[in-house]
Amino acid sequence: MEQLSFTNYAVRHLVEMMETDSLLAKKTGFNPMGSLSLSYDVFDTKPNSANPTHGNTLEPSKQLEGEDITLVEPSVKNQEQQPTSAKFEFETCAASCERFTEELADRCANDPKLDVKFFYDTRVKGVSTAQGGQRRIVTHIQTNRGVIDVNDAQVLIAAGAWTPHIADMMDL
Amino acid sequence: MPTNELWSFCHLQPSTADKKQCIIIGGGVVGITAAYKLAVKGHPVVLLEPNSAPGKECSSCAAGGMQRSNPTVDKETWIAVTKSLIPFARYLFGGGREPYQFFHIDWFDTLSDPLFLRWSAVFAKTSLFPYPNKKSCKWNSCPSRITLCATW
Repeated sequence: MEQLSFTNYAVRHLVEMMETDSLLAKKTGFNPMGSLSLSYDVFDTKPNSANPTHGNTLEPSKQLEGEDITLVEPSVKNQEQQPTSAKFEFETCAASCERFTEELADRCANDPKLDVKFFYDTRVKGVSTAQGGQRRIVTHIQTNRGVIDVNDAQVLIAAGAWTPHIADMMDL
Repeated sequence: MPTNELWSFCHLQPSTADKKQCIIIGGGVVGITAAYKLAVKGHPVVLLEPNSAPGKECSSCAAGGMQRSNPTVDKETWIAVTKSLIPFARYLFGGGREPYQFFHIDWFDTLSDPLFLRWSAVFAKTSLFPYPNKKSCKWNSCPSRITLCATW
């Protein structure tokens, strides 16, 4: 649940950025209209039926039926088979994650006020750590392009699915 | 030996009280956003990314969060996923050791979870027998596929 809570926090933060920055919203195709998951199975309309998304998700939602579905998504009327119910996640937003990343990277690279140095084609291959009080401190980062002496810099691992691998290198 | 660029970063920009040096490993959406936010606050940032451009792995296909879905996959993918979930699968089915151990499963909790068992059964059924009604099956009119997407 901690991971889900962090994801919830991070996504809310990204949404806030796009809500307050119209250029960023435009570049990423930001759409705050919610999401609709259609169901065509009578089984799902039973109130007590097992639905894994109930209770296990932080995404608020409500169940829609009949005309309420077409009010949210009029194109449903054109479908060959009409849905029996729908789960409407009304706070859900959509945007292109790739374009969001590219836009912020462009800003970092082109805005002279932002001091960000990008080292592409640089793969972390190893990490040296030392015990500093009760915490382990990263002292060197070995990459395919050389060794970085970390000194007093703060190291943030943002390697997505590879994070456990990097953390393992650091004996964390 | 480090490249000149890496070396110069390490030795020319010591942290000060209000400007903390930051090294970010990973140039996906999280890494780039963190770099941007830190830089806006005045902190110098170095970002290390193994690819030649930002956001080209998971961030190029993520939908902005974690989704539990039940995609219909082909038979080979179903076998690969199932093998990855089974402990010691390489001894039973062959193949090499999965190097990064992405799946950390508590087998007691997992196998006693009716929702996981239901998901597994439906995932197997839809992947191995994806078209129960092949003649009339379209994306918008195939109950089994749409229901799966909607419920898990």
